[in-house]
Amino acid sequence: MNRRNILIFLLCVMLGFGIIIQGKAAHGEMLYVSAKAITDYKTTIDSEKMEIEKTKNLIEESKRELVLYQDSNTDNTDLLVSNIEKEKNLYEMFSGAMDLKGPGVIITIDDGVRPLFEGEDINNILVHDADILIIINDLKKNGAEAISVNGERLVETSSVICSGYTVEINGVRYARPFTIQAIGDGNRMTSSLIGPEGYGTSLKNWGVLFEIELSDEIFIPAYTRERIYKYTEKVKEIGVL
Amino acid sequence: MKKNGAVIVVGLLALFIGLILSIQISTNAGSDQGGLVPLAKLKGYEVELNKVKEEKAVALQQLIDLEKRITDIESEKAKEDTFVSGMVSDLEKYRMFSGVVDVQGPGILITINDPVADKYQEDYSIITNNFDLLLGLVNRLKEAGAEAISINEQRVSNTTEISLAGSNININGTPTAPPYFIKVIGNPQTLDGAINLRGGIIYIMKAKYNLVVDTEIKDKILIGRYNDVIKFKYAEPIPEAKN
Repeated sequence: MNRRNILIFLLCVMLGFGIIIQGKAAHGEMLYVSAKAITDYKTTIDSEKMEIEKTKNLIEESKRELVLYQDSNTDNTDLLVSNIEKEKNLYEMFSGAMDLKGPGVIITIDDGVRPLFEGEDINNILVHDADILIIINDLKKNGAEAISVNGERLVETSSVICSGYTVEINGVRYARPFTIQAIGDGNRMTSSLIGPEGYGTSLKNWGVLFEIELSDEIFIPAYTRERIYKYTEKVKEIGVL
Repeated sequence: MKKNGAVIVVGLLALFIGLILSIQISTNAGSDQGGLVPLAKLKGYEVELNKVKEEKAVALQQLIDLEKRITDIESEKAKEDTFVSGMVSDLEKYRMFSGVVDVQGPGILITINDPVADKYQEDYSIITNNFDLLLGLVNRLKEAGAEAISINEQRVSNTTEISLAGSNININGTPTAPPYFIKVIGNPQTLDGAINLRGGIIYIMKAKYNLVVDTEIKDKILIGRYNDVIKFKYAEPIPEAKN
């Protein structure tokens, strides 16, 4: 009995030493790394994973389409036509080439009217292009499906640029007040803008006029100008990216 | 003898557990808060990153193959039928406008990175916390006639947002980390001139925020497609009243 106890004791000692030695030796080289570098690594990995997920969604979509095409191999012209039509409509809506309606929000921003403090810069209470940009960005972040500023539909190439006393959008000049309309989840967009950290709240604190209201039916016109690609061309070879 | 056998088994088990524990310790040691981190842990991240990158490449290839088969079927039909052919070319046009096509052309590549940090600043990303700089830059580029833009491979589409989410920037809902690579297709001279001027946006990034910004003119830039599934939940088309 005694001998057994001693044996087990010895084993325990060995095990303990083993762990310590292994733990020390296996650490290998140590590097000085900032927390930022590690989070950047993690973010990049998350980002790639998200990309894979998105690609897989697209693959599912394509598979569905392909099955649809191949099922009715005899005469699939009607099916093909209706599918192309459907897709064309979707991309027409997405690219801003179609008039849209739906529920959403109407935002009005205008220069402030409060008296200035002594020596205060008037710019503090004026609306700038950056304000409009940030509001638009916030709307997009909260799921806006279509946005217009003073009735001008925003598309993927639209810029909002301050030039003197006017703001230029899609090459057309607009002056204050600015009305931004967005179709989407009105409650979500509103709460983001007028929450305690919201940009609308901060504009109000500066003294800029900011109003937001929900609407059941918003009309957003199509972008009707011609789009010419002078430099861009479709990638033809497969698998270059 | 029998007793001894049992002891040997226990001994082996103990050795085994010890080994596993030590491996665990060595890969998990060093907190995520940075500081002295074992090389093994960093290597682990690198390996994982490479793995997901490979996986992505495989998925992309599969998507490209599938899409080719679909366009083949469509263009086959288009050859026989002029009506279908008109529709297919319309579809192509709107796909291009929507940014769901891989494109190439001349343009510029802008690289933005945080300044080389001193010890106290290194955990704070300037570009991440001033993401409105990216917003402003993209706006300037669009004004200068950019035809296609991507930020860290996220295509800038009609609904693309740039937003701060915790400690990183989300673009198209996808987390991104510095350095930022902004690819732009358009007239290279105009694009370059519009952002690289005294007092311009890049000047401000460098002078006021200490960011490391580099602009390169390229003859050919590849920009990937917008890869989110497009869905409309609220908006509906207005029946066309034309004609």
